[in-house]
Amino acid sequence: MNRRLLAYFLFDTSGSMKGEPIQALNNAFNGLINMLRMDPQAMDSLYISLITFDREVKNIVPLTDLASFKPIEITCPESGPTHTGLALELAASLIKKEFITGSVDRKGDWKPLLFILTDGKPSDLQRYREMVPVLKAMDFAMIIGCAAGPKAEVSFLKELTNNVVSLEVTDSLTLTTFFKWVSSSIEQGGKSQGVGEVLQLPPPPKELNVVV
Amino acid sequence: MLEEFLKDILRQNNIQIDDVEQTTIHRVKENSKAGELFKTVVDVKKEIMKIFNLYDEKEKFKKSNLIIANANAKKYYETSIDLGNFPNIVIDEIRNLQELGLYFDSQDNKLYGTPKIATTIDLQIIFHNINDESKSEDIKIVPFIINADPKDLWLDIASDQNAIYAKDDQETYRGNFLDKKIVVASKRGRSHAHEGGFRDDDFRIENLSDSWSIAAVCDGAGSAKYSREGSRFVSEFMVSEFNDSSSLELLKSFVIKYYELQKELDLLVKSNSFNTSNSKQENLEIETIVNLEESTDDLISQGDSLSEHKLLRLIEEKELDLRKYKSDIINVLYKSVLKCHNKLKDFADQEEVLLRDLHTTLIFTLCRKFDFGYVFLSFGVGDCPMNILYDGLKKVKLINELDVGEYGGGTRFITMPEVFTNEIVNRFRIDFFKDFDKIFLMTDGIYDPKFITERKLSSIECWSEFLSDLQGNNEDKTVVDFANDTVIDQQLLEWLNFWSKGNHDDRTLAIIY
Repeated sequence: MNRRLLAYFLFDTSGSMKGEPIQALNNAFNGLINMLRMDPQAMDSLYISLITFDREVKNIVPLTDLASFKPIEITCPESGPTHTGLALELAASLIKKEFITGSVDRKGDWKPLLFILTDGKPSDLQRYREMVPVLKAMDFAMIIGCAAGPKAEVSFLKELTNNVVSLEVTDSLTLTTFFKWVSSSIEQGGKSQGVGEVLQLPPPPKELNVVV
Repeated sequence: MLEEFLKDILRQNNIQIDDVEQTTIHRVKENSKAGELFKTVVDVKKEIMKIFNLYDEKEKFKKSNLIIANANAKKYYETSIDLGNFPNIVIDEIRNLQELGLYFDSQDNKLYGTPKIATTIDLQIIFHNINDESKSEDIKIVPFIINADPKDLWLDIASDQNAIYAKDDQETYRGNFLDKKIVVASKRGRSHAHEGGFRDDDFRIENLSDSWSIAAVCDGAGSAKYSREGSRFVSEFMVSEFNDSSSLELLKSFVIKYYELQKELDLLVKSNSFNTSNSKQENLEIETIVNLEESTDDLISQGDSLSEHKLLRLIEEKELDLRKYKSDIINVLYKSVLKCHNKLKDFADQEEVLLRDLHTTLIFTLCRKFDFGYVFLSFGVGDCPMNILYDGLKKVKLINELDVGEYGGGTRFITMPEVFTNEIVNRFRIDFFKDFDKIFLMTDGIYDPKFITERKLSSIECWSEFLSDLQGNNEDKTVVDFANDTVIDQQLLEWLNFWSKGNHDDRTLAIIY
């Protein structure tokens, strides 16, 4: 088995995402999958896991190789809290289970990628803050945070990662731009790099505001 | 039952049910015609329910999330369509299949065949309900994905030869090396060709003065912007650095001293019945092909006549001397490697790029044939192996230590200052071989797909397979002919095209034969 590149997508599906935002997210995410399907490198190595979080946290698509990945329709409840901390907890436990480190007998996976998109802020802040150091201690190639829409609070995402972009609106076009940029970071994930070095991302397109 | 039915009708006609109406109801219940009519009504209801259920199941099937696994172009595909939740649904046909190269077997609900091209299509599933006497057809739409054959997705875009630090997408070399021959081929990986990027690998081969030869192979980091220049700089620097007769002269004298001492020490150890210094012996990591039986007699007799205590002391002294010469040799090598690192730093400053933009691995072996056999002075940083096959291709030795990270792609580079600690001593090797069959230097573009793990690099079985692969035992039947070698460099370059899923890095392979 060759080296795998694991990408974990965490999507906010709390009530505020209902309507156009969730539709736009579905379009853009399925668009990303179709785009990646044409990338031979990704077709060889990329595995995707999808986690949604609102009141409940679900691994709605367990780790699946890109070639077997099917288009998905993500739905939202009417209202309710945003359990971002719980989502991080689930992601951490999945990665611990699924990531294969190198041994004398087999090649290790590429360092995993984590993408988290939210249009609000964590309702379970205490758990969120407990999980942030846990995730930071895991050796990700990159964690990318996306604060989508005007109500998204970037400060919490900044606690998790330095790579945070904010989108002013959550329409299909803007989200697609975001995911195009995501795909370029996926390309970067499958390259050799020095022990202990961080991945360099291509500059984000102008539709995305880099949060510093 | 009839009574309830009748009461419903009365209520619908706004007739109040009092005593008189109650009596009337009793009389109607006894009327045979009313009884017959009621039975008909019940039957009609049943019929209507049946029709409802029939349509309901069809609608539910239409709305259901029917999973049909993705197919892959040019690969045989077979999947069963699971109708477990819809026992009365029968699929008659699936439209638009034939043009995809797929077929549907309605007996077993099986979709099969070898799809010709990649596409995303809405399959039209034509079905009916088994309870429907008219067998009226309905259509369910299911999205279906046929992935492209990854081989068809790779583009081959030439690199921009006007760009800074431009490099040829491929390079070969063929010539003499020591008293043997060498062939090298280096080819840009598909992942770079796909984006019109450069080959990050590089190599240099040089026959130096006084019968010394050197082979250096470098693999620029995929994540570093100008690693192609780093690998060029480093491989070029290392061969030119040793193109210096005085330091080669010095190395030669150290090597001869070292070898002689080693031989003496071996004899002393042999004559000592206590294997006290075995463990220290291993530390030196030397493969000596010394025929102990041909030993000089005086040393043996000297050993015989010495007391055990004196013998041990003599061994210790010789070991100290040996270590001194080992250290002399390594210091010459170390200085050149450190110089390379520092020059690279200067170069980065001068070019106004970051040192890490030039990240590259380095392996080299500096070698010479002596009266007593071949000596290899080697160094390595990164994950590119150097292997010697000897003893009639029956034995193999990995002559450098690999930096293999626990996750994919994590390694070390000559550009990293942290490589230059005391531990760097372990990166240098001195090897003696009376003779050898072949030497291989390769980048991870070859090692990853062909050997997969470090352990297999020391397995002669894996090397036998690898040799047989080079001889044409491969998917493309590409032969690298060492006996008839006028075009061996082109053959090796062609061989580098082999297909291996997920392995599309630059590939460089140097073979001394």
